[in-house]
Amino acid sequence: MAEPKQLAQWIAETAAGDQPAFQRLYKATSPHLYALLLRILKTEDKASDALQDAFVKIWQKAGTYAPERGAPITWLLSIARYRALDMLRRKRPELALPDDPDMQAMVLSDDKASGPALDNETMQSLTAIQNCMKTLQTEQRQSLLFAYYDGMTHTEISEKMDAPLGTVKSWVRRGLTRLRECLADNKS
Amino acid sequence: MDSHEPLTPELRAAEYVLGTLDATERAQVESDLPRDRDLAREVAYWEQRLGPLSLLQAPVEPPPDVWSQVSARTQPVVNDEPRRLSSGLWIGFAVAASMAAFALAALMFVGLQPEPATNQASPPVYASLIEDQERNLSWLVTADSSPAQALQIVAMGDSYGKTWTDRSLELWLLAPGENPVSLGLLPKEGVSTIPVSADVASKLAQSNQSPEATKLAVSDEPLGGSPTGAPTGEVLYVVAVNQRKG
Repeated sequence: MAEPKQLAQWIAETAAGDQPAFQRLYKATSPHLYALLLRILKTEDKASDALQDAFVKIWQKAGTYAPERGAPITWLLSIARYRALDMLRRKRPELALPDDPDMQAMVLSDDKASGPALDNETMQSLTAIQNCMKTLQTEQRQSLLFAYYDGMTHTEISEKMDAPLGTVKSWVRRGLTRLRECLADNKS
Repeated sequence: MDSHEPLTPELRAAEYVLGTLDATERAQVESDLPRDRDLAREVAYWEQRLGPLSLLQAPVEPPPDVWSQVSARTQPVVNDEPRRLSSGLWIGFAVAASMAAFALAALMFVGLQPEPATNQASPPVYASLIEDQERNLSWLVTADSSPAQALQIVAMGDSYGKTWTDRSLELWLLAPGENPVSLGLLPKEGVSTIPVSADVASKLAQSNQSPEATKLAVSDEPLGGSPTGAPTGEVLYVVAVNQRKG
């Protein structure tokens, strides 16, 4: 994937109505957004629709991207994820397919050789969140990952993990609180 | 931790990014975001921290027709190609610019008048029409001379105040390869005149060389305009600058 600086430049040019820059941005980043959408939405049709909507939104909102808000790729991925979540919340499709890759194992693994080539900055942020995920209790981590990678609500996680709703909500909230503490510690 | 307690603002932002909020709660966060800086900061924090997790998955090339559909949906909102205006329409524009109250009526009667009114301003050299059919709003932006000394903006329609109660719409000049230059705010109603610098005038003049050369854009900004000197909100419209031939 292109360097963050290059992506930020294309976003700025897109904000000024530059179609060729927008197309380069699409080419460089759409496979990452599409992989995420496929994972959350489960079908190619839905993922393609969501990808299309996400890039229309990126075109419209490019002027609001501020580099101090963080890496361009995470901004783009957020737009795609929110679009997928909106689609899911409106009409729930089937739950996670059993043959989905186990994201818990991927998050816990130190082997990033199979993943895409990432720049140093992104790689550092990825390592930070992976290390902090490892410090969570198994149930906390599993609930966060079901929400993150499969777009599940508290209720769906509670069905999937066969646990009371209130317990799941606590896992999610304690997990997030713990993650935040860990990320703050690692930074200092 | 009691799961029935109301969410703290920090956890609300975190759960929004994580995706565990229901549709109503999500919509509430989205409507609070533009006004609530603390919330926006927390959301940005979690987007940055959790975002890299998405990159653990191997990228997948999307089907090729997605780009063609995106491309079709992202043509500039209004007239991408400069409209070829007949001289009759130019006269209509001039009437509109000088008589805002009768602007719409004047445009409707273009062509019915045997000759232009004698007390009318000279026909504009530059004109752009920013048109929002959905909201029934439009602005006519004209300049009467080249090099341009001032832009005259006529506002038509009355839904501006209802749509953007505490926001301003800012007009920008887009020249190829350059940062947008602020021209000022679009009026809510009536006519406003904005003086233009020599720099803006020369960029406007370039619109003659190529249809793609110079465009106007409008962005949604905090009241009073962009605090940074660059567009900070959504770009709502992009229109061509049309230059009179002859």
